Order: sequence, then C-alpha cells, then structure tokens
Amino acid sequence: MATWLTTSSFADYPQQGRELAVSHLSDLQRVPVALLPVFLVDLKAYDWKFPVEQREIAKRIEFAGANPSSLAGFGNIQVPTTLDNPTRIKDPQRFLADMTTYLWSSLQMDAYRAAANRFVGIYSAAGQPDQPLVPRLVMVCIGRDAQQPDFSLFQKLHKFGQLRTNVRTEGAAGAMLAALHERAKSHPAPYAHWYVDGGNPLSTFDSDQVTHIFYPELAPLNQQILARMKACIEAGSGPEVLHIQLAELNDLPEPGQASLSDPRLHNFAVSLLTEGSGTQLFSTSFVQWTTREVLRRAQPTTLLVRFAPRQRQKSFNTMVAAGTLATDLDPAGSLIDADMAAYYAYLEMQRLSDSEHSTFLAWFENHPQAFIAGRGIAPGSVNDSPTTVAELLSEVSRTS
Amino acid sequence: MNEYHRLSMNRRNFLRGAIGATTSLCCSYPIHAAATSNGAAQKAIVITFGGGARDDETFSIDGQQYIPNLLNTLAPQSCFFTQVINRGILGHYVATASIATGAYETFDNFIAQPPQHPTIFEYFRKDLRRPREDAWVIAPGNLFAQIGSSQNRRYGPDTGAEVVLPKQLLAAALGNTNLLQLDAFPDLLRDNYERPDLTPNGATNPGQEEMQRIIHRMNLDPADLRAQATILHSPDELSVYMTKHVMRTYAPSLLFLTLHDIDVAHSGAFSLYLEGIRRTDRLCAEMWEEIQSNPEYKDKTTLFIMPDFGRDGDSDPGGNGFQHHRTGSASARTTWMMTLGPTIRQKTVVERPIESIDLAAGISGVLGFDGRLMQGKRIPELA
Repeated sequence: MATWLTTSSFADYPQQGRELAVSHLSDLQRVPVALLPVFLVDLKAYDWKFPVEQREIAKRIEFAGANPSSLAGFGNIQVPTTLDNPTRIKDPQRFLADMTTYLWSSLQMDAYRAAANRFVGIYSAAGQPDQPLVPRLVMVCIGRDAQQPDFSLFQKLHKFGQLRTNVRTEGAAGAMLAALHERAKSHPAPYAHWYVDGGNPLSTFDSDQVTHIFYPELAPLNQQILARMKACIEAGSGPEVLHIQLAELNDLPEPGQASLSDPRLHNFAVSLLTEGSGTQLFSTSFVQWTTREVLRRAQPTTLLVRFAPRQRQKSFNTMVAAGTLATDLDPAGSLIDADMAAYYAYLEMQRLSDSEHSTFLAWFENHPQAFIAGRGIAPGSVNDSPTTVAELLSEVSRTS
Repeated sequence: MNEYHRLSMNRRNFLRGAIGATTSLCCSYPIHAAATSNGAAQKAIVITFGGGARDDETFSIDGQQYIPNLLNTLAPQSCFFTQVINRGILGHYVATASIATGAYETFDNFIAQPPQHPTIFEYFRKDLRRPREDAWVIAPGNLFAQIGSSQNRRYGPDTGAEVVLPKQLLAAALGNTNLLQLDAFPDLLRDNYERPDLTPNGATNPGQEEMQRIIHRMNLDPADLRAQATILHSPDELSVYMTKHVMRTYAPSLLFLTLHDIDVAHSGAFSLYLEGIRRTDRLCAEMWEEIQSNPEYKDKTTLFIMPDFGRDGDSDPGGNGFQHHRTGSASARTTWMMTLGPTIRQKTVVERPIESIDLAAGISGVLGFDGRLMQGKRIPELA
C-alpha cells in the first residue's frame, strides 16, 4: 500500500485534484501500489474531467478506502521498489505506463486483470450510478457519400433490435438533429447533449445547450500533433519520446476556435487526438473513439454521431502530410468502418446506467436502411413498412 | 466452460461442419511414418498470421467470409488446433520471439534486442550442424532485426538464422539509406502507423553494410526488385516475394515468415483490418502453392500457420474491440494453429489446449533437434 503518500505528494497537481487527494489521503494510502497510478492519473486530470466523472472519481476513492477487502486481489502482485516509490507521484501517466510494462514483463498482467475486475465488480454492485435526465438516446449516421454496399449493414447490431428497410430519406438527418435540439432545450445540463461529426455539421445545427466536436474544426490542433509525430519519426526518437511530446500538448495555449474555448473541451479534444489511435489520420477512427469516450466519460443523455468519409489509406508519410485536410477519400471503406463503429457505440451505451430504457438508432445516410433498438422493439426483427426517422423516434420514446 | 474453451468450441464446431473434420483429443499413433515415403530430410516453414487476428474475423461463423483460402483450400488438408493460448506479453516482437524460442520472452517489446532463450534456428543449426543458409527469417521491420539468434552464450549469432527485413532491404537495394525515401512505393510503406518503424536513437538499426551483405547473400538483382516493388501492394506481399526468392535460391530447411499487414487494425479502420486478413489469407495459400510447386519442398515440408495472438474482444470494456491487444483478455490470448504437410493427419481437429510456445517444440520434433531450454511442450499430434 502507498503508505508513503503525504499531503505534499500532490503539490504539483492542479487545484481541485490536489484538494480531493488531500481530503482523501487516508483512503489513497490504502490503495495497493499496483493500482495507485490509475487513481493518480484521474486526480492529476481531475480539474478537466466532466462533472459525472468527477463525482465518480471521488466515489471510487472513498469506496476503496472504506472497503479494503475489495482490493484483496492486488495483494499477491509484486511491485519493485522503483515503482513503489514516492518519486513516481509527479508524473502519473509515466507511472501508469511503467507499471503496465512491468506487469506485462513480470507475467502478472492476468493476476492484475482479475484483481481489477473483482474490484470493479464489487464497486459497481455497491454503488448507485448517476442516472440520465431522461432515458438516453444515441443516434448514429453512417455512410455519408457511400453507395449501396454488396453486404448487409447492421448485421452485428441486428440481434439487439430491428432492421428497418424502408425509411424515408428526406428529412431523416433533420429529424435526428431536431430530436437532439428538443431534448437539449427541455433538459438542459452541462455536457448532457452532444453532437459529434467527422465532417462539417448538418446545416441546421444550433449549438445552444449542445456540446459539439467537429473533426474539421480540430485541424489546427491535429496539424500540431502530426508535426510532432513526424519530427519524432524522422529523428528516430522512439515511442516514449513521442508519448512525452504528445502529452505536453495539453499544456499548449488553447486554440482560437470558439468551440474549444471551454478548457474541459479543449483538454478532451487533445486527449482524443493524442491518446486515440488513428484519430489523427482517419475521421472514422476519430468519430468512433470520440463516441466511445463521450459515452464512457461524459455519459450523455443525448448523443448524435455522424460519420464522414476518411482519407484513403496511403503510406504513413503521405497520410501524415495530408492529415485532417485530406481530399482523396474512401467512402466505401468508411462505411464498413462506421458500421462496426455503430455496433461499438451500442455496446458502450449498454454499459451505462439505465440502459434498459435507452434508445439506439443507426441510419445509413441518404438510404432507406436503419436499425433501432429500445424498449418494445423486438430483437432480431425486420420491418419493411414505410416509416420516417421522426416516427421511429416517436414510437420508441412512447415506450421508454 | 471458461472463455478460452468457449472460443475453442466455436472454432471446432465450425470446422467440423466446414471440412468434415474428425476430432482428435490426442492422436494415439505417430502419423509421420505413414506419409514420409522417401525419407528425405524434412523442412519446416512457420507463418505467423499477423499481427494479431481475432476469431471474430477468422474462424467464427461471421469471420469465415474473410478467410476463404484457409477454410476451403488449407483446412481440409490440415490438422487444426482450436485452442492455442499465448500466456506471455502481447506485443508483436516479443510474442514472435517467444514463438521462435519456445519460451516466454519478457523484454521490452519496443526495443530491438536478441531473445534471452535460444531460438529454434540456433538449436537446429547447432544440433544438426547446418550451414547458415539453411535457416532464414523474413520479418516486418527493424524491431525484428535480432530475432535470428539469442543472447544465450552457448548459441548466439554464429548459429543463428539469416534475417531479412524486406523494406530495409528494398531501400538498400535501391541505394537509399532511409525508409522515408521509399515514397515512390507507397503501398509498401503501410506500416502500423501507431508504432512506425522507429528504432530508439538509431542504435540498433541494421546497418547498410549488413543490408548489402544480405542482398549479396540473396542474389537479389536491384533492377528486378525495383520492378517487383512497383506491382506489390503491401509490406506482406513484399515479404512473401522475398520468402519465395529465398526458397528458390537456398531452399532452407527452416523458414520463419512473419506477416504483419493485419496490424493496421491499430488505425481503428475496420475495413483495413479486414483487408489485411483477406490478403494474409491469400498469401498463406500462395505460400502453400509455392511449397507444392517447388521440388525442394514438395512432400517434405510441414507448414505451421498461427497468429501471434488475438485482439481485444468487443465486449471487453477495458479495450476498444478489434483495434488493440492490450487487455490480456481471452480474446486477445486465444488463437489457433493450422499444420499441413506430408506427416500431418489431414482433416483433424485437436481440441485440447496448447500454448503458442509449443509450436517450437513441434518444430523440434519435425526437424529432429533438441530444444533443451524450451518451456513449450511437445505436441503429440505432430508425433
């Protein structure tokens, strides 16, 4: 256990995170060292976490301190003195990376994984997670600019809900946006309603009460990141230097875009581009990872996600040079990417509280195919009758 | 039933239906003698189906569409192991080195270095007194440069394999010193961009001199290579091209081909990952065709095809599905192995679990050397 933690251990941490750590010092001192970096990473970034995350971090620390038996699984994990060491507190990301490397190399990762799963299981069973303001609604538009493929869409999703094959395309995107706007206005709350787009947003988008991230708007930030990656590659600096250089981007002045003037959102955007893999180069990877992170971290009440075509695969150097501004696009490949990503979005939504009341809608943009899951929808069914997105959302909302 | 077994069951049931396979809990008789008619020296070729492929996109019901060659051409001729578990570090170089040594290596995956334990190439060459050109490795990048021999003092480079790094070799053959100058062949530079071909401080980069030595050793004509490079579509296609060249030039008895296109999955683009699997499936069939059409190999070669490991499962909250192999879940640790050759009982499905490090012991049985420091166990089904 990290009995060597003191109040001064957190002197370099941002204010809110430091205050939380100091006020829960005795709880943190009971945390096994193998698990400690996970808690410290959260504390160091606490000031930029979303409100629901902040509540979760505090609850988890309190629970660990009050229920040491939940951490018993970590008892057999051996940690060397180089890691069981107060000097590691200052840089928790590095601490976590080194701990992970050590656990793999000492072949203790399976034991760690079992211990972590046990802790999460006990904690989840004991806690009362935050509930959404109203039942959640997640809407995913896939396949912008893609032709009808020679395979069936939504196959992985099908067993969870209904395929709709005759959805009117006119007004469909507008209906999704209208649902987002209506819910945001009737249930306003910070970071509760989101719109993520891999391209430029739908023309009728109104940002009032809606948190949004559009890939093209991140181009200046992304170019900085790609420039650092390119420099590291050319210098042969290695992945560790690259990691450090990318981590420093969180300390850069915020870019000029109004959409990222919120420090939390800026921090979030940087994390998407530095911690996400492929997010710097492929808009589909960016939207998939952003969807996952928005659901996992912000736990929104409403989420509208729209995929855009990613750049065509080329050599690494060419893709780095093109970055966010690539013009040679691959709509067919992007449709496959987004179809899988829609499935992952559904799985992530199911991990959140109140999932039994949630609604999930995926639509092949400008085509009559859609998928819907929610209360009252027969899993594995197919419905060929004519409908609209507005009608689909209305039907499900009546039963949620 | 644990998760490892569940994955294994899915593969077994599927293959039974697909190829009419019988099940072998453990073959009770040696299967070598029946098929080896001429007593010729045996050869072994290993292909790692990499890097990292899940059941979901290979031997599951949903995945079969992506591996038509493995399924329809190779599986009916194979002995298939449904449950191969990798209990080591799930990084591509360290896992591949573990397969090559038959022992779980524990070094930093991102630093090029020789394995701690002796490799199959060293056992083979030292025990059987084989020349250097009888053991070759074709590997995807700088990290693998030192996989041909270990740090073990009883073995080492003098008993190791020749290691070919196709892209580096191509660059050297064209008179370039830097991979970045290969942009004229963009399809061959589709590296795993998450871990591009970085080598810390350049300290362990295989030198131009070594590359020139290998080029000379391979009898490669730079003009031919340049012409080929313009029509190949991926790094793995280049690797297979060079593998065939080595087979036709030296006909080595032990050949280890590490494929890596699939690892584009780290980019998060599912379509590119699937494309990588389809290509790897096709290249495996090409390699089998090469074996069958080359008299030096036909009827005396055992082919082992095995992913180095899987990838994270869709339902694993700690991962991001197919994209990575970081969680250590059953989906990431469990994979399969296909073996083909004259001494292999065809249409056989082996259900009992083996480990990825057992492959080395299987090769020792086929080639007849003593893997005395291996941790992996002999595979009775391979005699």
